[in-house]
Amino acid sequence: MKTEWKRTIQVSFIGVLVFTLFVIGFSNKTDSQDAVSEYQIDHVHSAVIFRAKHNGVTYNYGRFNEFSGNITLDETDISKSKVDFEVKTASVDSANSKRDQHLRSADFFNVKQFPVITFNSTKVSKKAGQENMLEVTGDFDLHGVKKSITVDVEITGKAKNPKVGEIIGLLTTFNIKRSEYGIDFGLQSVSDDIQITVSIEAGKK
Amino acid sequence: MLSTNQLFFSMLLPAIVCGTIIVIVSIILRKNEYSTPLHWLTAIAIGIGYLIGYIGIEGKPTFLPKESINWLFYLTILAILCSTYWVSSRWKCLISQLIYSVALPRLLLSSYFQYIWGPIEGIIRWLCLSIVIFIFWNVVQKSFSALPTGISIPFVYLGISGGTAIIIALSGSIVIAQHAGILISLFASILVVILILSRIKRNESNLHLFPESVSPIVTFLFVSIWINGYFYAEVPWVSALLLVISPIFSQVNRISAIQSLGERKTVFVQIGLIALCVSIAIIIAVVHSGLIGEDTY
Repeated sequence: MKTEWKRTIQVSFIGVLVFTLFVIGFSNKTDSQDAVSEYQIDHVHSAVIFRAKHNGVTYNYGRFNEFSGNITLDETDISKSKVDFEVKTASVDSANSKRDQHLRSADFFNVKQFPVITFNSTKVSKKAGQENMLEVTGDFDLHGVKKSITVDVEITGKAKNPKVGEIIGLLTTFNIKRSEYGIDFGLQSVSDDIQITVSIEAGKK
Repeated sequence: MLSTNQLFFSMLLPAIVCGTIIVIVSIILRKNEYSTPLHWLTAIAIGIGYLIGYIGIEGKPTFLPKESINWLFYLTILAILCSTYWVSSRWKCLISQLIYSVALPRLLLSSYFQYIWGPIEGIIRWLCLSIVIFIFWNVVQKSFSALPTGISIPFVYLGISGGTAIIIALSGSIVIAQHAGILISLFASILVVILILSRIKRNESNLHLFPESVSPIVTFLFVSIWINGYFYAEVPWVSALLLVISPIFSQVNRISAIQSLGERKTVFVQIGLIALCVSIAIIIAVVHSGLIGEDTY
């Protein structure tokens, strides 16, 4: 009788131990999974704008109306994060239909031959000493020319919205020389330096 | 806008080189009459002139070409090679015509096949374009014999190049229009050379500088520029169609009612109808461009 009791206690103890280890193991796994968040860009609340200097005097602004992308953010190991972004060149909008037609033609974006501009990150790191700042390196493919560029990305905010769930805001501004991408028409009147600003709101998938 | 440097390399230098080669060709032709096997020298003049102009606009060519317009450099070299054997065998010419008519749209419109057209639509459009190119090639060939020797052939093709350049520039691509600009300078230089030579010696005006062997280079260049203009700029389809059919009017001399007008008037009718066709194409492009309106920039 005593031995039976002893045996029952032993079995129960082992059972509890196994269950506890299982629960701990499972909860640890959930924690690490939670640290990796995947976001999808909400293009309605995002913007891709660019500016070029006209005749060396004024900045002219334009935007792209169609773009999409995904962001993977790993809070525990930021280097495992990833950004993939795609812009439809035919959606260029400079607030003048004739200028848009010219921008879409072979003189500039040549949208029929190069329908998308893409950015695929290859390295993501935290910017030293600056909170909420990331350094993102990736392949920027414009007008059929792919170049590796590094941009500073600011995490402009994070929030939990009861309507749309978890959202994140990102902002980056960087400069390119369009002639390096084979867009060298009219350099006398439209500057070679183009400033691109990307402001993103992305919702957790 | 073109800088002085670009203007020299893309228009003036091609014209000088082309004109010089044409002078050499006319000297050779004067000595050998029509028996010379060097008829393709006119194609060489146009081809080399165009290649110089191409480098003036686009810079050093890259292989593989990045953009559709970059294929023109290699297509011009192919057209020059094609011209060298054009008079040798009828079958060789026909097979070449078929191969190039099929290959041209595939090379120039690869991005359309990749991104825009589905497989069935792509094949149908490819077939239609190949047939149009094949027919146009024959029209060009026939126009060289339908129009009288002397200035009329370069004059007609100068007009078509001018129309092409204006229409493409109005349709949104100055770069592609500049390629048509090279053709303007080349045909203008041939025209000037013939005019000068005919002043020096009267019988020079009858020099047969445009034999059938020149047709590959003329076809390749016009077709490639039109395809680029229509598919990569926004040339109105009616303007594109009018440009393509314009050389057909060189054949009106076959109509007996027109023949009865006499040789001089027949030429006027031929050139007049081609000019009318090109002019309507330009007017349509002007209207379509919104040049007459408020939406300019």
